[in-house]
Amino acid sequence: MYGEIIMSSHLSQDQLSMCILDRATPEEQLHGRECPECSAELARFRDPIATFRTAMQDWSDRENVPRLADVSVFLSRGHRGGNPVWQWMPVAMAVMIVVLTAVPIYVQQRKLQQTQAEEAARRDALLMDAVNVHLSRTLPTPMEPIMALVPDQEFDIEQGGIQ
Amino acid sequence: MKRPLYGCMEPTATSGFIATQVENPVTEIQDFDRVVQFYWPRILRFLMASVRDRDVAETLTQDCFWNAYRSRKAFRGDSSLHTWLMRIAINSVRKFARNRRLQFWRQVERSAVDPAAIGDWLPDRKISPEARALVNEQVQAIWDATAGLSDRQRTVFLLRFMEDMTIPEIAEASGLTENAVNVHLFRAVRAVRSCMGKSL
Repeated sequence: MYGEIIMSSHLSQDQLSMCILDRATPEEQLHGRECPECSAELARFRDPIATFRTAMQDWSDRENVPRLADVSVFLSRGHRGGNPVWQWMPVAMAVMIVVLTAVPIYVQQRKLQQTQAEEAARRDALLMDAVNVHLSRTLPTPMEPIMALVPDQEFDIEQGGIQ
Repeated sequence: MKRPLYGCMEPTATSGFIATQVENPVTEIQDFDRVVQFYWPRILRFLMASVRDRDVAETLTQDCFWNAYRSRKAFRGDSSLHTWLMRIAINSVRKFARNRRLQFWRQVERSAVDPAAIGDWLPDRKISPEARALVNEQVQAIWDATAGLSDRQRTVFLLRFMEDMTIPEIAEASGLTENAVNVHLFRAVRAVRSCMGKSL
Protein backbone atom coordinates (compact mmCIF):
# COMPACT_ATOMS: atom_id res chain seq x y z
CA MET A 1 0.00 0.00 0.00
CA TYR A 2 2.72 2.51 0.89
CA GLY A 3 5.69 2.03 -1.45
CA GLU A 4 8.53 -0.28 -0.83
CA ILE A 5 11.24 2.33 -0.36
CA ILE A 6 9.18 4.54 1.87
CA MET A 7 7.85 1.81 4.05
CA SER A 8 11.34 0.43 4.59
CA SER A 9 11.75 3.17 7.23
CA HIS A 10 9.88 6.07 8.77
CA LEU A 11 10.25 9.62 7.61
CA SER A 12 13.39 11.40 8.76
CA GLN A 13 13.18 14.61 10.79
CA ASP A 14 13.87 16.69 7.68
CA GLN A 15 11.23 14.79 5.71
CA LEU A 16 8.73 15.39 8.49
CA SER A 17 9.56 19.10 8.39
CA MET A 18 9.06 19.11 4.64
CA CYS A 19 5.69 17.40 5.10
CA ILE A 20 4.67 20.13 7.52
CA LEU A 21 5.66 22.74 4.95
CA ASP A 22 3.80 20.92 2.15
CA ARG A 23 7.05 20.57 0.24
CA ALA A 24 7.47 16.81 0.58
CA THR A 25 7.19 14.44 -2.36
CA PRO A 26 3.79 12.82 -2.94
CA GLU A 27 5.17 9.52 -1.60
CA GLU A 28 6.36 11.18 1.59
CA GLN A 29 3.03 12.94 1.99
CA LEU A 30 1.23 9.65 1.56
CA HIS A 31 3.48 7.98 4.07
CA GLY A 32 2.96 10.83 6.50
CA ARG A 33 -0.80 10.37 6.24
CA GLU A 34 -0.97 6.61 6.44
CA CYS A 35 1.90 5.54 8.67
CA PRO A 36 0.56 5.68 12.26
CA GLU A 37 3.89 6.66 13.80
CA CYS A 38 4.77 9.37 11.28
CA SER A 39 1.20 10.62 11.33
CA ALA A 40 1.37 10.92 15.11
CA GLU A 41 4.69 12.72 14.80
CA LEU A 42 3.15 15.25 12.41
CA ALA A 43 0.15 15.67 14.70
CA ARG A 44 2.52 16.44 17.57
CA PHE A 45 3.44 19.59 15.66
CA ARG A 46 0.18 20.45 13.94
CA ASP A 47 -2.16 20.16 16.92
CA PRO A 48 -0.29 22.61 19.19
CA ILE A 49 0.13 24.98 16.25
CA ALA A 50 -3.61 24.92 15.60
CA THR A 51 -4.32 25.49 19.29
CA PHE A 52 -1.83 28.33 19.43
CA ARG A 53 -3.37 29.97 16.38
CA THR A 54 -6.84 29.68 17.82
CA ALA A 55 -5.71 31.12 21.15
CA MET A 56 -4.03 34.08 19.47
CA GLN A 57 -7.03 34.72 17.23
CA ASP A 58 -9.45 34.53 20.12
CA TRP A 59 -7.32 36.88 22.16
CA SER A 60 -6.88 39.45 19.38
CA ASP A 61 -10.57 39.34 18.43
CA ARG A 62 -11.49 40.16 22.03
CA GLU A 63 -9.20 43.19 22.15
CA ASN A 64 -10.79 46.59 21.72
CA VAL A 65 -10.14 48.12 18.34
CA PRO A 66 -9.81 51.90 18.53
CA ARG A 67 -11.29 54.18 15.93
CA LEU A 68 -8.86 55.85 13.56
CA ALA A 69 -9.59 59.19 15.18
CA ASP A 70 -8.49 57.78 18.55
CA VAL A 71 -5.27 56.48 17.04
CA SER A 72 -4.46 59.80 15.42
CA VAL A 73 -5.24 61.69 18.62
CA PHE A 74 -3.03 59.32 20.61
CA LEU A 75 -0.15 59.63 18.20
CA SER A 76 -0.41 63.38 17.75
CA ARG A 77 -0.40 63.80 21.54
CA GLY A 78 2.76 61.79 21.91
CA HIS A 79 6.04 62.33 20.17
CA ARG A 80 6.03 59.10 18.23
CA GLY A 81 4.09 59.83 15.11
CA GLY A 82 4.53 63.56 14.96
CA ASN A 83 6.02 65.68 12.29
CA PRO A 84 9.74 64.86 11.97
CA VAL A 85 10.48 68.60 11.87
CA TRP A 86 9.12 68.98 15.40
CA GLN A 87 11.02 65.90 16.56
CA TRP A 88 14.28 67.61 15.57
CA MET A 89 13.31 70.96 17.04
CA PRO A 90 15.02 70.41 20.46
CA VAL A 91 18.23 69.40 18.72
CA ALA A 92 18.05 72.44 16.46
CA MET A 93 17.45 74.67 19.49
CA ALA A 94 20.44 73.18 21.30
CA VAL A 95 22.66 73.68 18.25
CA MET A 96 21.46 77.27 17.93
CA ILE A 97 22.21 77.98 21.60
CA VAL A 98 25.69 76.51 21.25
CA VAL A 99 26.35 78.57 18.12
CA LEU A 100 25.03 81.78 19.67
CA THR A 101 27.21 81.26 22.74
CA ALA A 102 30.32 80.11 20.95
CA VAL A 103 30.50 82.77 18.23
CA PRO A 104 30.94 85.82 20.54
CA ILE A 105 33.52 83.93 22.60
CA TYR A 106 35.40 83.02 19.45
CA VAL A 107 35.34 86.62 18.16
CA GLN A 108 36.52 87.95 21.53
CA GLN A 109 39.37 85.46 21.66
CA ARG A 110 40.33 86.35 18.12
CA LYS A 111 40.48 90.08 18.95
CA LEU A 112 42.54 89.40 22.06
CA GLN A 113 45.01 87.34 20.08
CA GLN A 114 45.26 90.08 17.46
CA THR A 115 45.94 92.76 20.09
CA GLN A 116 48.59 90.59 21.74
CA ALA A 117 50.22 89.98 18.38
CA GLU A 118 50.29 93.73 17.62
CA GLU A 119 51.78 94.50 21.04
CA ALA A 120 54.46 91.86 20.55
CA ALA A 121 55.31 93.30 17.12
CA ARG A 122 55.58 96.78 18.59
CA ARG A 123 57.91 95.54 21.35
CA ASP A 124 60.02 93.71 18.79
CA ALA A 125 60.31 96.87 16.70
CA LEU A 126 61.46 98.88 19.75
CA LEU A 127 64.01 96.22 20.60
CA MET A 128 65.33 96.19 17.05
CA ASP A 129 65.64 99.99 17.13
CA ALA A 130 67.65 99.76 20.34
CA VAL A 131 69.89 97.13 18.82
CA ASN A 132 70.39 99.22 15.69
CA VAL A 133 71.35 102.27 17.78
CA HIS A 134 73.79 100.18 19.74
CA LEU A 135 75.40 98.67 16.65
CA SER A 136 75.65 101.99 14.82
CA ARG A 137 77.90 103.56 17.49
CA THR A 138 81.37 104.57 16.09
CA LEU A 139 83.21 104.10 19.39
CA PRO A 140 83.55 100.51 20.67
CA THR A 141 82.28 99.95 24.18
CA PRO A 142 85.72 99.03 25.72
CA MET A 143 87.06 102.45 24.66
CA GLU A 144 84.37 104.45 26.41
CA PRO A 145 86.15 104.69 29.84
CA ILE A 146 89.30 106.06 28.15
CA MET A 147 87.36 108.55 26.11
CA ALA A 148 85.86 109.84 29.28
CA LEU A 149 89.33 111.26 30.11
CA VAL A 150 89.51 113.18 26.83
CA PRO A 151 88.00 116.71 26.94
CA ASP A 152 84.74 117.04 25.23
CA GLN A 153 86.09 119.45 22.58
CA GLU A 154 88.82 117.06 21.44
CA PHE A 155 86.32 114.28 21.49
CA ASP A 156 84.04 116.31 19.35
CA ILE A 157 86.88 117.03 16.92
CA GLU A 158 87.76 113.39 16.71
CA GLN A 159 84.20 112.63 16.20
CA GLY A 160 84.22 115.17 13.41
CA GLY A 161 81.58 117.18 15.20
CA ILE A 162 83.35 120.54 15.36
CA GLN A 163 85.35 121.63 12.32
CA MET B 1 -15.13 36.41 13.35
CA LYS B 2 -15.49 39.83 11.83
CA ARG B 3 -16.85 40.34 8.36
CA PRO B 4 -14.15 41.20 5.84
CA LEU B 5 -14.20 44.31 3.77
CA TYR B 6 -15.61 43.97 0.31
CA GLY B 7 -14.91 40.29 0.34
CA CYS B 8 -16.16 37.05 1.71
CA MET B 9 -14.87 34.35 3.99
CA GLU B 10 -13.41 31.22 2.54
CA PRO B 11 -12.40 28.11 4.41
CA THR B 12 -8.73 27.19 4.41
CA ALA B 13 -7.06 23.91 5.16
CA THR B 14 -5.27 25.06 8.26
CA SER B 15 -7.00 27.91 9.94
CA GLY B 16 -10.68 27.73 9.29
CA PHE B 17 -11.55 31.00 7.62
CA ILE B 18 -9.65 33.84 6.12
CA ALA B 19 -10.69 36.79 4.07
CA THR B 20 -10.44 36.39 0.37
CA GLN B 21 -8.50 38.85 -1.74
CA VAL B 22 -10.49 41.96 -2.29
CA GLU B 23 -11.08 42.87 -5.86
CA ASN B 24 -9.77 46.37 -5.58
CA PRO B 25 -7.53 47.07 -2.58
CA VAL B 26 -7.13 50.69 -3.65
CA THR B 27 -10.87 51.17 -3.19
CA GLU B 28 -10.75 49.29 0.09
CA ILE B 29 -8.21 51.65 1.63
CA GLN B 30 -10.48 54.66 1.08
CA ASP B 31 -12.57 53.66 4.07
CA PHE B 32 -9.64 53.57 6.42
CA ASP B 33 -11.70 53.33 9.58
CA ARG B 34 -13.08 50.03 8.40
CA VAL B 35 -9.59 48.92 7.46
CA VAL B 36 -8.52 49.56 11.03
CA GLN B 37 -11.53 47.70 12.40
CA PHE B 38 -10.88 44.66 10.25
CA TYR B 39 -7.10 44.34 10.23
CA TRP B 40 -6.32 45.57 13.76
CA PRO B 41 -6.63 42.12 15.42
CA ARG B 42 -4.39 40.49 12.81
CA ILE B 43 -1.65 43.07 13.09
CA LEU B 44 -1.95 43.15 16.87
CA ARG B 45 -1.56 39.40 17.33
CA PHE B 46 1.35 39.24 14.89
CA LEU B 47 3.12 42.05 16.74
CA MET B 48 2.24 40.51 20.09
CA ALA B 49 3.79 37.18 19.11
CA SER B 50 6.78 38.99 17.62
CA VAL B 51 7.71 41.42 20.38
CA ARG B 52 6.14 39.35 23.20
CA ASP B 53 5.10 42.46 25.09
CA ARG B 54 1.50 43.61 25.23
CA ASP B 55 2.09 47.35 25.64
CA VAL B 56 4.76 47.43 22.97
CA ALA B 57 2.55 45.40 20.63
CA GLU B 58 -0.35 47.84 21.07
CA THR B 59 1.88 50.84 20.53
CA LEU B 60 3.46 49.32 17.43
CA THR B 61 0.02 48.46 16.09
CA GLN B 62 -1.06 52.06 16.49
CA ASP B 63 2.13 53.18 14.78
CA CYS B 64 1.56 50.71 12.02
CA PHE B 65 -1.92 51.97 11.21
CA TRP B 66 -0.89 55.57 11.57
CA ASN B 67 1.98 55.04 9.10
CA ALA B 68 -0.38 53.20 6.78
CA TYR B 69 -2.89 56.05 7.00
CA ARG B 70 -0.25 58.64 6.22
CA SER B 71 1.09 56.72 3.22
CA ARG B 72 -2.24 55.37 1.99
CA LYS B 73 -2.00 57.46 -1.16
CA ALA B 74 1.21 55.65 -2.08
CA PHE B 75 -0.57 52.29 -1.92
CA ARG B 76 -1.10 51.22 -5.51
CA GLY B 77 -2.70 47.87 -4.87
CA ASP B 78 0.20 45.80 -6.22
CA SER B 79 -0.19 43.54 -3.22
CA SER B 80 -3.18 42.86 -0.99
CA LEU B 81 -3.93 45.32 1.77
CA HIS B 82 -3.18 42.62 4.34
CA THR B 83 0.28 42.04 2.87
CA TRP B 84 0.96 45.76 2.71
CA LEU B 85 -0.07 46.31 6.31
CA MET B 86 1.94 43.29 7.37
CA ARG B 87 5.02 44.73 5.66
CA ILE B 88 4.61 47.92 7.68
CA ALA B 89 4.22 45.82 10.83
CA ILE B 90 7.37 43.81 10.04
CA ASN B 91 9.31 47.04 9.56
CA SER B 92 8.02 48.22 12.94
CA VAL B 93 9.27 45.01 14.54
CA ARG B 94 12.68 45.42 12.91
CA LYS B 95 12.91 49.02 14.07
CA PHE B 96 11.86 48.02 17.56
CA ALA B 97 14.45 45.20 17.64
CA ARG B 98 17.14 47.61 16.50
CA ASN B 99 16.23 50.14 19.19
CA ARG B 100 16.07 47.41 21.81
CA ARG B 101 19.59 46.32 20.92
CA LEU B 102 20.77 49.92 21.21
CA GLN B 103 18.93 50.41 24.51
CA PHE B 104 19.98 47.15 26.07
CA TRP B 105 20.44 48.79 29.45
CA ARG B 106 16.76 49.66 29.64
CA GLN B 107 14.14 47.34 31.00
CA VAL B 108 12.04 47.23 27.86
CA GLU B 109 9.77 44.30 28.57
CA ARG B 110 7.91 45.86 31.45
CA SER B 111 4.67 44.28 30.37
CA ALA B 112 6.11 41.09 28.98
CA VAL B 113 3.60 38.29 28.63
CA ASP B 114 3.52 35.70 31.34
CA PRO B 115 3.78 32.38 29.50
CA ALA B 116 1.72 30.70 32.17
CA ALA B 117 -1.22 32.95 31.36
CA ILE B 118 -1.22 32.48 27.61
CA GLY B 119 -3.56 29.52 27.74
CA ASP B 120 -6.09 31.71 29.54
CA TRP B 121 -6.50 33.74 26.36
CA LEU B 122 -8.77 31.01 25.11
CA PRO B 123 -12.36 31.93 25.82
CA ASP B 124 -14.30 29.81 28.25
CA ARG B 125 -15.45 26.86 26.29
CA LYS B 126 -17.05 23.82 27.66
CA ILE B 127 -13.93 21.79 28.02
CA SER B 128 -12.79 19.70 30.91
CA PRO B 129 -10.04 20.91 33.21
CA GLU B 130 -7.81 18.19 31.78
CA ALA B 131 -8.42 19.38 28.24
CA ARG B 132 -7.80 22.97 29.29
CA ALA B 133 -4.53 21.95 30.89
CA LEU B 134 -3.52 20.26 27.65
CA VAL B 135 -4.43 23.38 25.67
CA ASN B 136 -2.40 25.55 28.03
CA GLU B 137 0.52 23.20 27.68
CA GLN B 138 0.37 23.23 23.89
CA VAL B 139 0.07 27.00 23.61
CA GLN B 140 2.89 27.53 26.02
CA ALA B 141 5.08 25.05 24.16
CA ILE B 142 4.70 27.01 20.91
CA TRP B 143 5.15 30.32 22.70
CA ASP B 144 8.40 29.09 24.27
CA ALA B 145 9.60 27.50 21.05
CA THR B 146 9.17 30.68 19.02
CA ALA B 147 11.12 32.63 21.62
CA GLY B 148 14.27 30.77 20.61
CA LEU B 149 13.97 31.63 16.92
CA SER B 150 15.87 34.41 15.22
CA ASP B 151 13.82 37.50 14.37
CA ARG B 152 13.57 36.52 10.73
CA GLN B 153 12.68 32.90 11.43
CA ARG B 154 10.02 33.98 13.93
CA THR B 155 8.52 36.41 11.42
CA VAL B 156 8.16 33.87 8.62
CA PHE B 157 6.99 31.18 11.05
CA LEU B 158 4.24 33.38 12.47
CA LEU B 159 3.14 34.60 9.06
CA ARG B 160 2.91 31.03 7.79
CA PHE B 161 1.39 29.21 10.73
CA MET B 162 -0.47 31.93 12.60
CA GLU B 163 -1.54 34.21 9.77
CA ASP B 164 -1.82 31.42 7.20
CA MET B 165 -0.07 33.46 4.52
CA THR B 166 1.35 31.83 1.41
CA ILE B 167 5.06 31.78 0.60
CA PRO B 168 4.74 34.52 -2.09
CA GLU B 169 2.76 36.67 0.34
CA ILE B 170 5.36 36.19 3.05
CA ALA B 171 8.12 37.06 0.58
CA GLU B 172 6.24 40.19 -0.43
CA ALA B 173 5.60 41.27 3.14
CA SER B 174 9.07 40.51 4.48
CA GLY B 175 11.08 41.71 1.49
CA LEU B 176 12.80 38.33 1.20
CA THR B 177 12.99 36.10 -1.83
CA GLU B 178 10.75 33.04 -1.87
CA ASN B 179 13.82 30.81 -1.59
CA ALA B 180 14.99 32.70 1.47
CA VAL B 181 11.52 32.42 3.00
CA ASN B 182 11.56 28.65 2.41
CA VAL B 183 14.98 28.31 4.00
CA HIS B 184 14.03 30.36 7.07
CA LEU B 185 10.76 28.50 7.37
CA PHE B 186 12.41 25.11 7.18
CA ARG B 187 14.94 26.05 9.87
CA ALA B 188 12.19 27.54 12.02
CA VAL B 189 10.04 24.40 11.81
CA ARG B 190 13.01 22.20 12.62
CA ALA B 191 13.92 24.39 15.61
CA VAL B 192 10.34 24.54 16.90
CA ARG B 193 9.90 20.77 16.55
CA SER B 194 13.17 20.21 18.35
CA CYS B 195 12.14 22.54 21.16
CA MET B 196 8.68 20.97 21.41
CA GLY B 197 10.22 17.52 21.54
CA LYS B 198 11.96 18.58 24.71
CA SER B 199 9.01 20.34 26.30
CA LEU B 200 6.07 18.10 25.42
